[in-house]
Amino acid sequence: MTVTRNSFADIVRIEQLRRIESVHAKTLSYMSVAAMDNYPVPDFKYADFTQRLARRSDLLIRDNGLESVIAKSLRHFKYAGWVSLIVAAILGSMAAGNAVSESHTLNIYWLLAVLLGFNLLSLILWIIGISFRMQSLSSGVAAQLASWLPFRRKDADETIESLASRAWWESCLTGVVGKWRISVLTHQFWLIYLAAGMILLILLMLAKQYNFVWGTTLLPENSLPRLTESLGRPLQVIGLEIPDSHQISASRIGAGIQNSETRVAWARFLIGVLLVYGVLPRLIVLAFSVVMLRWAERSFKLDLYLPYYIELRQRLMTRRTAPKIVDADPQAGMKPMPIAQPRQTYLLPAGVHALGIELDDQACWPEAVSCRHNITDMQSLAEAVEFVKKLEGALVIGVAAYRLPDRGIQRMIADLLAVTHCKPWLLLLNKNPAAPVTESREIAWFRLAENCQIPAEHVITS
Amino acid sequence: MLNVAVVGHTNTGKTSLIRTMLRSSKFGEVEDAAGTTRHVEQATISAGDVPILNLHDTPGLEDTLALHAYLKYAGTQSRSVSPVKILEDFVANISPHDSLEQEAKVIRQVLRSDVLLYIIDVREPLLEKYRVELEILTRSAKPIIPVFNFVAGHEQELLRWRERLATYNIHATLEFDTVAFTFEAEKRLYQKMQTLVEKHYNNLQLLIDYRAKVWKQLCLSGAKRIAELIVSVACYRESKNPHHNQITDSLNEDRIRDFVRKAEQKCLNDLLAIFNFSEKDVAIQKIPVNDGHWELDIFAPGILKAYGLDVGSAAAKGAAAGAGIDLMVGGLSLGTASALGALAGAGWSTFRRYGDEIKAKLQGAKWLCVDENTLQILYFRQKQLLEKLMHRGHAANNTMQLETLEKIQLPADWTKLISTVRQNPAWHTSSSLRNSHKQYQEIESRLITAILGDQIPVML
Repeated sequence: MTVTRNSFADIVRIEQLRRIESVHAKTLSYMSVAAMDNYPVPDFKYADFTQRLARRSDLLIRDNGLESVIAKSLRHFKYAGWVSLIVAAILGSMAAGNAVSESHTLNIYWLLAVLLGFNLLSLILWIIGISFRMQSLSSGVAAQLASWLPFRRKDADETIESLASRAWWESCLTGVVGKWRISVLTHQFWLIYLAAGMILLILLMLAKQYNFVWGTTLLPENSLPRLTESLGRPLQVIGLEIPDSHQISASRIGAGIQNSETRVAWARFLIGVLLVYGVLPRLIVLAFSVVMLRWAERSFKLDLYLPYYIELRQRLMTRRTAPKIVDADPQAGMKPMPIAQPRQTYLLPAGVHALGIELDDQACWPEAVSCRHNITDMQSLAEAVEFVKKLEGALVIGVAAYRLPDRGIQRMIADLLAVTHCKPWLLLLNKNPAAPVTESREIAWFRLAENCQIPAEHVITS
Repeated sequence: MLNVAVVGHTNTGKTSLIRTMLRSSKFGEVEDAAGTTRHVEQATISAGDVPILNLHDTPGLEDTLALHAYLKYAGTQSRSVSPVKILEDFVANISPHDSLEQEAKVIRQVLRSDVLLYIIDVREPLLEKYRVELEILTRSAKPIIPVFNFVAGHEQELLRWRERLATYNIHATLEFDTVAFTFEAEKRLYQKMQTLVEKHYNNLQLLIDYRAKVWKQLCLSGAKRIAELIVSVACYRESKNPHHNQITDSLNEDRIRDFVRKAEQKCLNDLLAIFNFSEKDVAIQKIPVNDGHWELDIFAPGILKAYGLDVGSAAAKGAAAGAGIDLMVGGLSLGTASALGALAGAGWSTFRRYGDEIKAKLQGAKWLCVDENTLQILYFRQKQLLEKLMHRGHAANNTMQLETLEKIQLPADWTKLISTVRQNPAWHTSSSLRNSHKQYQEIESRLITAILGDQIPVML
């Protein structure tokens, strides 16, 4: 299965579904995803997992009719965005309209301050907010309202719609993604504001005649002309003519009536300044914000430490160990015959001969029994075989019941019993009388006794 | 690929070792019965997508002395034949119903493998048959790593075994307790294989690095989950209105208790899932929950700074908006719009942050929260559980008990951390807003460091 990178929209849908499931899991139908569990994988990969989560969320959203609820949040945000842009256009036009008012003589720098001052303040706040990571400073008022109003939190409200809405808000309008998304809206707002103001100004200047003046009380006489020249240099680069020194002097307050070339030059200067110092910076930061938004969306990762994802990971991405049998047991599937433990066990006869097999120093013999040999190696086995050949009466073989028997012990016992005439007993010795031997171990020793033809009644548990 | 045969006497923990290395209790069968494994089963261990080695679980050697006698006889029949050839002839000529058929399976796999892990149960007495097994295995001319199992609490026995193996000139041994697991032991096992099979050195190094990375992630996930629990419970609060009657108050207290217990149980389930264990691996008693009273504390560490930044930014924005209006009206408002804007911004920010608390104050309501003692118990229990899970092999079948609390030290700045957390009730539920908050990240980091201690370097 090819794994494609999930889009940010897919990740948001997963998060929205997570929120919905956190409260309404019992009311949802999971039939469409029942077959998705236990998909074995050799190893966990984020992309694989998110793809499966995306597929799961698509199925659940479709089958539970949640499509419209999930899509509502984005729709609301888009509407809020459009509303804020309309407001921006209205405000921009009003600002431009107010700035020119009914007068036919316009103070150029006061006009620029009105039209660009607010924009400049906002841009400075944005730059400070972005530089110092203070989102409350970098997001514009209108953009913040647009991102808050449709999603204002009502903690008590846990309907599917409000949960999906909250999840969308958290994923898209908070954190790094939210910071850049709101920045984009902020810059769009200011662009529309400036554009609307500029368009209105152009329309007004087409239909009316304005004289542009400048004046100052506190600043040196040549400061504003020099400012005009400095501001005008970039305008000249893009081919806009600016007022020359003569025209600037002629525009001083009280200098007299302006000619049409002067008015046109000032008009071009006004529009040029709005474009170069208003619209262009905003376009640049808007483009930057859009790029950063795309980057943030691409880098956005689900928090897989959340309990929801931990549980889903276990279900959807079971680690595959895939063992295989390379040398099968020819008796596989054959269960051993059940062992019937005796209802009654006889007591050890007096004067019994005792041997131990592979006993350690923890094995506790009954007081009346004295162990003659402990078989631990080939030599001691050979000695024990010689020993039992000469015996008569009863022979008790003590084994450590707290360990499990093996075929080696079974063969040793069989070899001993093959050379003796003694009645055999098997004594299951414990190391700690307070801790009884487990039933499975006892059964293993009873099975051994059966294989060695020691009657079950002759198996004594201590 | 490197082929590793896990061999040893029956019931020494071969299948358990593989389970622990695979981090899965689903491999093979482990029973308290004689000779459970009767086939050779292969499992592959990979570093991500790259398979590195095949582990082969073999049936146990049971009748070693008989095998030794057979091989000795075969050796006398053909003196010029090498020991490896004798083993090869043995496995080739054995019939499926022969009593040594099980041993033949083991030898067959030994001959096909590159490295042998010979598992020793240190609780077993030092019997000759184990020496004979080792001697038979050395005839295969394969490098052997003796691995001591069930070492926890059996130091004396371990020492005796080491001494005995030293007399056989075997010094390069390894302790790997399949029940009381440590990651370091697993790492040393791979490193020992590296020294014995140079050809696979780089692949094994890849595996070691990969397993270390995965182990760190697992431990970090566990610690992070516990930090999430502590924060969530510390932030939780229920409103207590003075006009409520006793029944309502009692319901509030029940809700707190219920919330804490459910939250702890969920955390426990998640920790088990992270380490691939199941509910049967742990038994936990219900946590005693006591109620405390929540108070607004603006001087809690970091709160004033965060509030100040928030209010300052909002006021600056409000002032900027007002300044725009002032400009538009040509200064006639005398800066009133700026001042009002700043006030509105500050007021809005304060209301957003402390609206609930202001409303509660006006209504005379108080807040119930989880008390300090309960939080500490929660922290101790989950920390203890994490430590046990980090040291539990997948071969373990006993149930971990968590009732009795060992003395565990609280983080040095616990009071400050909890005080700050409590003053951010919005942190009660996980969100990207909370998780990207710098102060929250700092607190989470400190909690994780305290939970993991010196067990693993914390990488955030």
